[in-house]
Amino acid sequence: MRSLSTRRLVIVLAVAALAASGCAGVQKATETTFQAPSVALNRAEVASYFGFWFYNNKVQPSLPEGGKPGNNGAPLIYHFVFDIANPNAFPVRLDNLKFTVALDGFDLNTVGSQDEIWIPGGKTSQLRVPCVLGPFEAFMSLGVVGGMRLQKMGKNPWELIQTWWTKAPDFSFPVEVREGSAVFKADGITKVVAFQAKYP
Amino acid sequence: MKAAPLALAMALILFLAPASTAQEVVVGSLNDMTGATSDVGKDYALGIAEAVNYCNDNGGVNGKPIKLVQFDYGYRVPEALTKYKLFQRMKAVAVLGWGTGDTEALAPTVTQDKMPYVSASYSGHLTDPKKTPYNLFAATDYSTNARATLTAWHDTRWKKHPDYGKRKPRFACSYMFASPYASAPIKAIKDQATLLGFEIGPDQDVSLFAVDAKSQVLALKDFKPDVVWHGNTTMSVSATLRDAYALGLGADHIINLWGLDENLPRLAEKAAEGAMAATVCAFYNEAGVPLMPKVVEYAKKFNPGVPQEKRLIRTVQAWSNVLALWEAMKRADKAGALNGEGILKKGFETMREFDLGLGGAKLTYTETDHRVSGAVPVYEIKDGKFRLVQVTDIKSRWPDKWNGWLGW
Repeated sequence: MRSLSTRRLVIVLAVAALAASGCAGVQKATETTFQAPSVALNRAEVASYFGFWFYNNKVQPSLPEGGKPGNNGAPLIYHFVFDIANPNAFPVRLDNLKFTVALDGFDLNTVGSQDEIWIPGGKTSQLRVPCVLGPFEAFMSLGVVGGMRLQKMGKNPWELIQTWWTKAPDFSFPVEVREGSAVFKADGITKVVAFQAKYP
Repeated sequence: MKAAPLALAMALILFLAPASTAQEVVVGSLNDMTGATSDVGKDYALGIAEAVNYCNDNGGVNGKPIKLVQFDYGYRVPEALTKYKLFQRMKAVAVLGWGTGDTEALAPTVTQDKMPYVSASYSGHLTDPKKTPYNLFAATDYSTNARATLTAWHDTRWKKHPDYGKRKPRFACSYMFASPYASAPIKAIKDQATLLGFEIGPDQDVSLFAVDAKSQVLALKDFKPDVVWHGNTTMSVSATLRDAYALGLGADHIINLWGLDENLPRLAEKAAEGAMAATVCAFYNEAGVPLMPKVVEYAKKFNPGVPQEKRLIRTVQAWSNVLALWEAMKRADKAGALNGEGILKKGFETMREFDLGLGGAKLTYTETDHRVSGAVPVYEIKDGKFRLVQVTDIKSRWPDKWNGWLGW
């Protein structure tokens, strides 16, 4: 009886080991067999909404008493949800992913994910990436990067920021994902995928 | 006897299970991709990640892969401090920092924590190891660059000027007074101007966000400068150059390195012709630079969605800092001291004339001086392209003054 249960234990553990290995023996990635996964924007969401407000550095905060004034405003928080499809028979690891977020054609932030995620062979996984925009950061970015374009448009940066912050829940202006890249790895092979999208 | 099959099964599991991640060397990176310096910060941030990929593809830190943890901090100092604390909890051995804001705010902390902080704030104030031993960068500092650029202008332009030998050359500075970056080398460049016999005119306060600098240019016209130092970043400098050109200022322009990159001739066009600046490395995709093909290869491979024409010298600056830190970590690891103090003492401070292959100065860090070199390549814009004017070695030219210039 003892001998039988030991044998069973060995079999169970061996099966578990094969499962843990992801049946690695079935197919391995090579430069020729590793097909690039696809990255598609499923949707953008305003994940939390605080409206629009801004206090410049001349306004004393209510708390803490005697606190330092700053250029503080409502964050605009987007979440971008991507569908990541693995066309291979073997699992691939998403090493990192990054992209630039543009509102109305103005680049405002470059964000991404550095968390390692495995995508099973033949499956699609979803990845949610947050992007926090601040009004003052947007103002500075518009001033430095988009200053000349704004001048040509005859627009004031605060005018644009106020529109974006107040209209964000309606998605009434284009929200773009630009210059995206996702790095995938499998069996020591690296594939990088470029992506871009506009929402809605 | 019972133990044998169990041990065999366990060994089988260990053998067949996916290999666990090899011992990683965690390096944090703080970048600005959304704030006041995002025009250059994004390119720098992309370069950091690309360079780390290159290091890992070439063995990491003596076989140990580098795990880069990279965050945008939007040029907000509280955010930088928060992320720094996260890096510590993640057992980072070093941090790749960004600008003056985060670097100055964290300088006392990184000194206390013995955390190497390799940033793109090249302020001369950070080069004295007695004050900021853990602040490092793989570049000549702003003050050395400013001295070298003014000297190059004096050597190559003033000596050919019809008034040479008849009067003093006139010099003025244009920069944002309240910006720590822009004001960092002003004392040094005025000292150099005095040393070279310039007459110094009134400073002009130009915002980093300026798209119009007419009033400042008109104020400069009264002084009739022969050469103007521009201490801001590219967009503000291009606005000032355009107004100087339109209003017929008639002066030459010398620029701090964050104000001159591949975008300046695109933005300022003819107004940028003849402008001079010190650089700390080669321009993006510059020919004849040993490691440049790799820089371009990794940019194309890891950021295929970013057009090549958008890539800047900032990528190469990022590579310089990463490769210097990589070398320091490898040396520290070989010495059995892959920690903050080891990276400084057994790594950086053992480098003598170390060439990164990126067109910048050869790196030397000593226990008493973290200025990497006194030899600075100075470029000018000619027909919309960058052309090397000369390498100005201010250490060799003023050896008796060099030590006295440390830290400012």
